[in-house]
Parts: sequence; structure tokens; C-alpha cells
Amino acid sequence: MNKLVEIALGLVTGIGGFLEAGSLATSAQAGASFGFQLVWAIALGTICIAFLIEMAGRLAAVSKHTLPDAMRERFGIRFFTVPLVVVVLVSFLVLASEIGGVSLALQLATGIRFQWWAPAVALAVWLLLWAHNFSLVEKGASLLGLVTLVFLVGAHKLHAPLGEIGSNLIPSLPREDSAKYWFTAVSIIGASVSPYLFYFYSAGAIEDHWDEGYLGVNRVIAGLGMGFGGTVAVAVLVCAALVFHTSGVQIDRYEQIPLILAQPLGRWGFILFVASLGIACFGAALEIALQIAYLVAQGFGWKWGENIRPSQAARFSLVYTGAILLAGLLILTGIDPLKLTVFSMALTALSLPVTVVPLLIVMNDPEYLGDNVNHWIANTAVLVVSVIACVVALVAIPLQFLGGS
Amino acid sequence: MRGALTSYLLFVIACHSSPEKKQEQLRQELRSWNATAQLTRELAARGALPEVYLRQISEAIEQGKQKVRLQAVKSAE
Repeated sequence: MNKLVEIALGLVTGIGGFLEAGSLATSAQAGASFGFQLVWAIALGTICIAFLIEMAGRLAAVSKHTLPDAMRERFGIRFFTVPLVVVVLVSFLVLASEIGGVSLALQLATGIRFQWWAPAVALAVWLLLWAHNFSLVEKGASLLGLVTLVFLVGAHKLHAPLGEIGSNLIPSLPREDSAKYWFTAVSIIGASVSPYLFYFYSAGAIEDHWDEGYLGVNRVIAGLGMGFGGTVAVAVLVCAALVFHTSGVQIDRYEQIPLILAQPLGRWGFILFVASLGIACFGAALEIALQIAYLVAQGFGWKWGENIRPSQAARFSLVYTGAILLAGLLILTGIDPLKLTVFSMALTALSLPVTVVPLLIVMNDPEYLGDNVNHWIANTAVLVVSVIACVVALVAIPLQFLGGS
Repeated sequence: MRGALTSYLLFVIACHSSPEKKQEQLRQELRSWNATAQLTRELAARGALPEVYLRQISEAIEQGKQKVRLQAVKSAE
């Protein structure tokens, strides 16, 4: 019974926690600019993150190590510094994007410019982390995040053509604007395979005291939870394709995106869009701020944990406090949240091999996993997606900014 | 390593967009903002958009169009 509850909560986390500023913005942009053509990128990213989440949970359950812990132990602190710095930098940009997303939701609801909301949002994120425990942070944000299911309702009301959507699960070459197509594709993959997701998951498994008895639960949560989450991201793309692509609208500003739900659902569509953006980004901001602190504290062997008082893990608490403060300040400068979000996602894709290859080496080490080392299918799937995403990002990012083709 | 970096830079520079492509992109952006305005009018007429949002999206449309016009002037120079 307890395991069933764990699975149910894990699925809720997968669905409610999947959509955030990155996946929302990139899926909507993809649908608006290329119709259903980039559904394959969401599918590829979802498969890759499902494998990575499963690996992170399995490592925690079998070896009782979090990812940073195992990586530092396996490779030494000098090597570990490289993925540490890369993941912290990328996660910081994503954290700023999420704070920007919540601030924008508040702007849409009130008309007050988003940058003026940034300090209040940053303070709220910090207060929740300071005062509450891990379970409440994770499960509370995910439960509220179920509001994002409204995109499935929107896609249904718009009579989404399932056959045509399904046929785009197979990757295809761009019919127009190649630079933007590939940039959007890698941004989608970067949004789906954000390292914060699997680093956070591994820390959660340790905080929840998982053992080998949880391997089945872990597999179900990773597969089904991420699968359902990916379906919500596809629904965003479908709504944008059916509302924007058919009328020739491209997304250049966040303010345009609520129209994709206002069209099928009227005023409630607008309200639920604002709620989805605000809640999903707020939940992600909590998780990313915690993940940055986990990563640094676990990497340097400091005392860590969201279930212990801040005064007992002072350096851990100081890291998330600093990260939230700096991310809030970045949004306060008035930087365009949509551009920041999409750029952060493309950078995430670019950095994937740095974060994923050391993880794969650990996951194939019997000293940590015993008989539970990776199957070759998981190794191949994750490695191929990461390397391809990185190579495409290497070409697509400069081309996007130079306006190439 | 240096050879790979040079090839990469040459490739990126070779793919840099032409002035004609830039003009076409600007025309497309302008069409997109006009389509956003049309869609907003339709949804506002149905009462699907609150007043506070209508002000914001109208401002975004105006700013978007203005930005395209400025870029068009700049690229013509």
C-alpha cells in the first residue's frame, strides 16, 4: 500500500513538475513556428530524461549515494569541479528563468511590470525553503502543478489531429528556416533533459531513505511520470500549433502565449494559463534552488538536507540563499524572460555531455551498482541523445544569434 | 584542436544570413504581429480576455511592430 502511495505521488510529481518556464516556452515556440513538426524533439527529450531519472533513483537506492557524492568519490574533486561549475551555471540561468516566469504570470494578472515582482517572488521562494521541509516543497508544488493538465483540455477542445501528431514522432528535416528549427529542437531537448531534474531526484531519493526495494517504484515513476509529463508538453505544442501556426503568429514575447488557451477555453483559459505559468515556474524555482545547494554541498561533502534546520546546515542554506538572491537580481534588471529561458535551454543542451558522461561511467561501475549496472540500451539512448543535442547546439546557437540559415 | 575551431568558425560565418534573408525575416515578423493583433481582436470581441491583459498585449504588439520598423530602417541603411 505504501509503495502504491509512493508511485501515485511520484506520478503526480512527474506530471505536475514536468512543465516549467523552459518546456512551456520552447514547446509553444515550436508549435507556433513549425506546427506539429517538432513533436519528435519532445519525445526524444522525454525518453532521455526518463532514463536519467531512473538511473539517478537506482544509484540512490542501491549505493545510497547521491549523484554528486558518487561522482566526486569516483573521479576526485578536481575532475568533479568541471560538471559542478557547468551544472551550477546552467541551473542558475534556469532558476532566473523560473523566477522570471512567476513574475510574468503576476504581470499578466496585475499589469505591473514583471521586474518589480522579482524581489517578492525570490523572497517567497527563499521563505518556503527556509521554513519548510523537503516533502512539502516537492509534493505541494507538484500537486498544484496538476493545473498544467489544462493544456490537454485545450488540445482536446481544439480537436487535435492525433494521427498527424503521431506521424511527427519520427524526426524530419526542416521545411523552412533551418537555423531556427534546429535551435528550437535543441532548446526543447535542453528543457526536457535539465540536469536539475535528475540531480534533484537523486537527492530526494536519499532524503526519503530509498533502498533496493524501491527499484520497481523508481522504474514506474521514471517511465510513467516522465511519459505523462512529456504528454503535457506535447499538448502545449499542439495548442500553439492549432492557434498560432495556422494564423501565422510567431512567439516573440511571453505576453502572446496566453492566447493559446484563451482561444479554446475563453476567459477561463486565460486564467488557467496564468495559474499554470505561475505555479509550474514557482515549483521549478523551489526545486532548482534546492538542487544548486544539494550539488554544491554534496560535492564538497558539507552537511545538507532540506529536512534539517537551516542553522544545522548553514553552508547548504547559504548556497540556496545566494542563488535565489542573484537570480532575483538578474530578473530585476529587466532582462527579457523569454529570451533568457530559451537561451538557457539551448545552453543546457550544449552542456549535456559534461553532465551525462560522468553519470554513465558511475552507472556502469559495479562497485556502486553491483548487479544493477546500466543495460546497454539505457547507455546508448542517453549517450546518443546527449551528443547529438550538444553537436546541434554548437551549430544552432551561433546561427540563431547571427540570423543564419 | 585549432583546425577544428577554425573550421567551425568558417562554417558559422558562411551560414551568416544575407540582407535579403534579413528583410524577409522582418516581413515575416511584421505579419506575425499583425496576426497577433487580429487574433487578440477576435478573442476580445468574445469577452475571452480581461482588460488588464488587453492593455499588455496591445502594448507588446505596438512595441513589436516598432522594433521591426526600426530594424528595417537600420538594415536599409
